[in-house]
Amino acid sequence: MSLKELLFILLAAALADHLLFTRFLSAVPMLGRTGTRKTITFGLIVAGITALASAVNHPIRNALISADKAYFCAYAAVIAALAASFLVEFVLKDSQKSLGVYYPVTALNAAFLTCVCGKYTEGFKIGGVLLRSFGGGLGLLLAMLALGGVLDEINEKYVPAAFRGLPVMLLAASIVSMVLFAF
Amino acid sequence: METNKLNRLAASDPVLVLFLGIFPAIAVTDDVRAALAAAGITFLILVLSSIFAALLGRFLTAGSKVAVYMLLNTALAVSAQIVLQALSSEIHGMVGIYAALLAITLSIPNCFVDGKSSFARVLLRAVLSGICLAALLCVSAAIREVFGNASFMGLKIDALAGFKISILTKAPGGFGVLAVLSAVICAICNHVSSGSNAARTAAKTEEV
Repeated sequence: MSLKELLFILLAAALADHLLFTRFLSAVPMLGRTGTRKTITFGLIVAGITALASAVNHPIRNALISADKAYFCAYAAVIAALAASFLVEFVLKDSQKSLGVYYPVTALNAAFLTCVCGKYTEGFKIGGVLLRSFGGGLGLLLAMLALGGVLDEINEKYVPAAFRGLPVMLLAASIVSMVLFAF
Repeated sequence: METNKLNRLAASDPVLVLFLGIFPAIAVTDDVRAALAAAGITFLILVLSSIFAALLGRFLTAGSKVAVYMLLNTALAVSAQIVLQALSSEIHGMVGIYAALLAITLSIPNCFVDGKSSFARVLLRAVLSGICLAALLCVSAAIREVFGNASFMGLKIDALAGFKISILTKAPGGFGVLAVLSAVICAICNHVSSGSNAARTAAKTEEV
């Protein structure tokens, strides 16, 4: 696979074929409100874990499909993501950067993305799988940042009482989704 | 009393309160049949996984709960999908991977169930969450299918064929419909609680 093709896969996964807004796939996108730095760290960790889990999951998934046991693909993906999250938590444990309370959310998001990336990387080679999964994680990060940016600009003083909180967040998500739909 | 019940009911909705499964919920609500199937699967998984959580809660450590419940819910979701495909492959195709994803996401609240919670309370919370989620999915799906696709449960509505708002079946429409529905729920809760507060204040004034 040429570098151009690999770059195309990464950008397509992060922007055009966006898992969050075109395929409605992710767990807790509203985390965009926890601060830009934390969001970036969290997004990058999720993207890394997803790439690692997808690389492990890819051969297992192919074996399950060829054995006509495609039902267990989701199960294999969740186990791979949990193992990858556990490994990352284990590596980071001694440093000050332990996932801590973010561990369940990180594992959940990575499991989601691994499940889905497995479905959309059929026929890819290992390099493509890694980039597609990492791109999916980057897409999640971009969406969280975009949503956080839009939400920061909303002054709740001017929002009707019933629309304050979740409804206005969903409307913001609708606008961001419409923007990404243009890709 | 009535306010408390209503607020408790609204607070039981995992999609609206915890934002859990918001995206799979939007994905399955472009057709009422898919929404019903997803709601059924999720209800079943919520109840079963809560029973397991209540039984296993005291034996698991906080760290291991995430992995155990996620694997347990995935196993339940895979079994439910096998049954759904045997019953109707068309609806299984519509629901796809989303019911499983919704179920996996909803396993998170179980991580906070400790051994001290009573079995009946955990079960009641799961049943309430399942009912609220099912109602939300079905109403959202009905609005999106009728106005976005001019059909209901797959049956065409000729009178609306010329007035389709096709964006409603896409992602932006899904978010918009869910936003309006959650605003309506908020408005009803606010209205009832302000009415009850006014009645309480009037009663206190009378007492004084």
